[in-house]
Amino acid sequence: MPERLDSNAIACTVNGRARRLGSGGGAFLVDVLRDELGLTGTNVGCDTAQCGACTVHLDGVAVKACTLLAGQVEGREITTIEGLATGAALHPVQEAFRDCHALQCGYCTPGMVMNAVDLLAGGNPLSDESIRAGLKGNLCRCTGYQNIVRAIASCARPSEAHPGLRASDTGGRIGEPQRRSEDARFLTGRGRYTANFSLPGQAHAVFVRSPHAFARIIRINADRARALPGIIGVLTGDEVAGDGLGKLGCGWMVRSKDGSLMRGGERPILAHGHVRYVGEAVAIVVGETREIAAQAAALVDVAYERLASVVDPMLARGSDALHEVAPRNICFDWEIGDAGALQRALAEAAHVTEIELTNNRLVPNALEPRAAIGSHDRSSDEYLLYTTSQNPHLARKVISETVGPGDEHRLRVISPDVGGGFGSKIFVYPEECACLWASRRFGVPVKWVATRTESFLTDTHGRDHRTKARLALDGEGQFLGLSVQTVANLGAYLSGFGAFVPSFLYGTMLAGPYRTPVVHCEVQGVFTNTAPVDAYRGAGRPEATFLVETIIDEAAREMGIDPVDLRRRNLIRADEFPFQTPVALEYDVGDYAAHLGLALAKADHAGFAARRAEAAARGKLRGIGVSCYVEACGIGPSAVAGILGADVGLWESSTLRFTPSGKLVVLTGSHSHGQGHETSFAQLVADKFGLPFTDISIVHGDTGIVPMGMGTYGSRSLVVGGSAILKAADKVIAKGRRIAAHLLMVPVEEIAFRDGQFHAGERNRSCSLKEVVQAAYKAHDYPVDLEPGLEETAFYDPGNFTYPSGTHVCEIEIDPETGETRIVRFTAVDDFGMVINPMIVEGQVHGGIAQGVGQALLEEALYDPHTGDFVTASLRQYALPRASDLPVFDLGSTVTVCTHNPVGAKGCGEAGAIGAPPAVMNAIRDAIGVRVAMPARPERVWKALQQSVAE
Amino acid sequence: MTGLEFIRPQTVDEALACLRDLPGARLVAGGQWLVPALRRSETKATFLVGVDHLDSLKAITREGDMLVIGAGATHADIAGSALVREAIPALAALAGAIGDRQVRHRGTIGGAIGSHDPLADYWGALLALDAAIETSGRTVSADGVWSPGAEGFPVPGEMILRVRLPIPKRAAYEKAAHPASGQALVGVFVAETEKGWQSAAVGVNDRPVRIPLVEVSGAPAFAGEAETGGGATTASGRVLGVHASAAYRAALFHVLLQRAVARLSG
Repeated sequence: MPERLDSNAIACTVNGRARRLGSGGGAFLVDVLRDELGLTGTNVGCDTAQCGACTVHLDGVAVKACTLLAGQVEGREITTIEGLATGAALHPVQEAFRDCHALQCGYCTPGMVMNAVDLLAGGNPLSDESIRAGLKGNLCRCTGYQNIVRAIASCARPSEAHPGLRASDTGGRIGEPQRRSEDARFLTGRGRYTANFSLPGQAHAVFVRSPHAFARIIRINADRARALPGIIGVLTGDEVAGDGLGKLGCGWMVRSKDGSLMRGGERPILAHGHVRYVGEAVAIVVGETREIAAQAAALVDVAYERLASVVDPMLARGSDALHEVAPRNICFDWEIGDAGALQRALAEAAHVTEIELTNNRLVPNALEPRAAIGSHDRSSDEYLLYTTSQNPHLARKVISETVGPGDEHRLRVISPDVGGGFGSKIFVYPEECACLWASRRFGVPVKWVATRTESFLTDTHGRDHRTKARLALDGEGQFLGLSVQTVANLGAYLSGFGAFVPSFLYGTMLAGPYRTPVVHCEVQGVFTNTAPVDAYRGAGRPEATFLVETIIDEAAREMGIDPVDLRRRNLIRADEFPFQTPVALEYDVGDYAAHLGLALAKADHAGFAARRAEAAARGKLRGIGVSCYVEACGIGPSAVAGILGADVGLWESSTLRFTPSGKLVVLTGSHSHGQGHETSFAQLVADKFGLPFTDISIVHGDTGIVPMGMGTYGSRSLVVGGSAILKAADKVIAKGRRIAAHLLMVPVEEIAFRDGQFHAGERNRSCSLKEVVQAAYKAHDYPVDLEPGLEETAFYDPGNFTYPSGTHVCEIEIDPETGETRIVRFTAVDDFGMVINPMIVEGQVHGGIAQGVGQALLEEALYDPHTGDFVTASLRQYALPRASDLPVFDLGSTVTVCTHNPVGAKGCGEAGAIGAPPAVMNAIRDAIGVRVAMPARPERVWKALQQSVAE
Repeated sequence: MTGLEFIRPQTVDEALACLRDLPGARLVAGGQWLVPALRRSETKATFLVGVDHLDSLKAITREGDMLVIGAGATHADIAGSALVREAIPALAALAGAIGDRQVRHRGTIGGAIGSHDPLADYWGALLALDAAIETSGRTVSADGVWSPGAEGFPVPGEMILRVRLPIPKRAAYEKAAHPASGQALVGVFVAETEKGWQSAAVGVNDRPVRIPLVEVSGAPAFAGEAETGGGATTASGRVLGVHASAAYRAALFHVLLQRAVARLSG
């Protein structure tokens, strides 16, 4: 008789140890590895076997653990990331990943490494092209793959040079590619992601979600679900109302032209009365296991009365209102700039270029799905929440206001390692509130981990603009004015920054890097039956840059001016800074001609005609596109944020705490979810204090430890968070000087701190930082009027935004028979001001460009116009860039130092996603002579070519 | 926990007995389609009858002018097989371009054709080469599987054992893939066989179709619109439509056919 593989029947070897699996043959291997064996290095990033984060070896061969059943590994050998290297040493592939900076958030890394090891086992001298093809089954959202390919190539072809920065470990001074402190844990499968935590006695939550885009909830019957053995409870919108929980609102109050406040869009924890988009949470089901909760969720009977839904923001303005307080679904009707002056500019213009365009809707798709574990202790009335947040302190404020008013001081929020965010994890979501609340109701910790399908349906989306614009020019091609009318899709509810992104973060960037004297922009924010739209990498600036760089190319072609030349005529000159734009911002510093010039040189712009001719001989259409951008990062000062309607200040804080033995703990309110703060912040203070890099510990992501913070978004970590660290360091040094003065018996005015020593003026006497620290904690021989200890906290409130800028040049080839676009060359030259770790900065740029290319060529969140279903809600339909979709990015930099923060830095996280889309699309326009919409799928390009042939 | 019971038969006969005797039993080989579908609760099963360990299903042999591939051979097995590479290199290349390498390490030819996916690349080769599919109960031609009105394939309790492919003089396969799933949007297989030029395509219709060819000055060319251009309404038609309308598929078909022919002659 055939064997039935029940509990404890499956014998296999896992990481060299003989194991018997207790989960039964029908369990999914990935769950067995993670939940039964505690091997949480094998990550889960999707539910369609597309992402490869769970790749392990089965008898030495790479397979996706989510596609295997436990019964299939009987008698076989499994190796996970935890078993790859023996002892403390890393496997050579792990080492190569670390040295080539081939990882950022670390979430895809275990699967990527396991596949790479197998790929290399073939022994053939793999080409870069075959490496990219071999990585087809692994998605990375952070690196743009370039450094992953380089790491694998350096193993495959060790005798070759593999150009690019290599991590060094030479003390972590500023400007060096210091090896990342984070990497060892990510490379060995010890990442501390929320889903990897378990609290004693925890229960598991599954949400019942709306299948309808717009409907009235008639009744909810959860009796059958509640009766299922193992179910702890089911909560619905009625219980939310009964418990008086608050709603999630937008943290920015935008006013319409007429001065009225924006209307509607408050988001309930669980739907009450109506559901307004597919996937909206209707009930939370809490059970002893996830499987039981899922079974029960399927038994919750919700009766709906369907209503006519609308997903198109243009049509929404003539449709029934989602929210009664917002007639015609208009949340706000906002403007910036001088409408009258713009009319005069149009009247005076020698030429007016007019375009309409759509900025396609995107799903950020951080590879780590959102997750939360909420816990409430009845005896102490204290709350603990593990959550995948970019912004734990703000989460504490918002969640305590919503779930436990008056309890902010009793709520501890921990955002441990977070596997990418790209904006989508800035905001507070209903699920994490529901988990915390359910824990209070049921007296057990409640854990929830999103599936990828839930991520698609309920994470905030990005972009989704419809825009008409006119650019007025004089006869010489000088810009006279820009007029913009945009309809921005907000989704069904306002998320945390929902109203701010398409207004202030967009309208204020429409001058771009140009002297355009007049800009007038009107934005209507419109509700539709779609997931909330909020900040996604770039947040407003990519939309503005895409519009400006598209209309400039159109104007150039209409006027018969070279597109680069037209840009040159209008760029703000280096001697014009500080430059006041017509849309509120004052750019502090920049040299736009410098990065344009360098980018064109690196891209061999001059030699393009020959390359185009050569491509034509092969039957290919080659095009080149240029985009220049300036963006605004590190939002602040707080006073300005207040004027713009912010609910909070936009400072950052840091505490520097010397331990009695002279080591330094840095607490920062910034949050790293792949950006490498543990490394670059340590470099910042190592340099400041002359301390060994390894004597510094960076702590973030825990409101129970870090005093205060505003999190990480808008490329603000180094410019605002880093500045707070330096400000705290100055306070430490100021106190240290007083201690040193006492020890050296000289007046404090004579003490100077440099190179890790307190020097006493010209007297050639000094004492070390360590001696000062020891004195501060012993306080034996110590100034009488000084507190012991050496710990200082500083809040830094920026004086202005920072303004990174750059030029991106893209060269593409199109196969006219299929419409397929291949990027053959991509050059980016950016000015980020001072750079602390050039390796990390390059990685940020690679990842940003990759996401920009994704927007231009591949990605599109599509809702069915009739049913409101989310059509592309899986990684089988929504195309994220893979290694083989991307070229090698050639990066360069120019430097003008930020004038108003002590780091001199401007921020680099979003630049790639801002600069890349127009460069790619202008290149396609150049190749085929007409504009196509993003994403430029092969069929769209092919159709455009067919039409132009027909005409 | 999952409510699925896994059975591990020791022989093909035992596996067949399980399918016959256990209600709601399903075969699982590589599981590349089935396991994710189970994970998403998109399909149901009570008993899963695992067959990926049965070596008798994995054999790849040559019998005269026939290549015989066991249903349990993985895409990687087929792509890497010296026999396949020598006999039908186009088939090795086809298998080597399915999905990604992790998928190819697990997914089997039997699973690919047994899941009745009209876009499975193998159908191009099987139809163009007049392959025969041997199951536990019958031998059916690839044509027979897809001919209008044909009974289901496989029928409940039926197990695919092997595929017999007549070895062509030369052949080539070209496909355009969906950027997210990697599935074929359109795939065209062309072969010169003892019977002359033969071709078949996936993605141009709601099922794989043979493509009529004529010989024009020594090379094969498309003979007419007989079976194509009818619009692609596949199982996931609306979603596929995002990436390829019927008109675009038709255009891709012509391009890919030309390229496959060029590859043949090259």
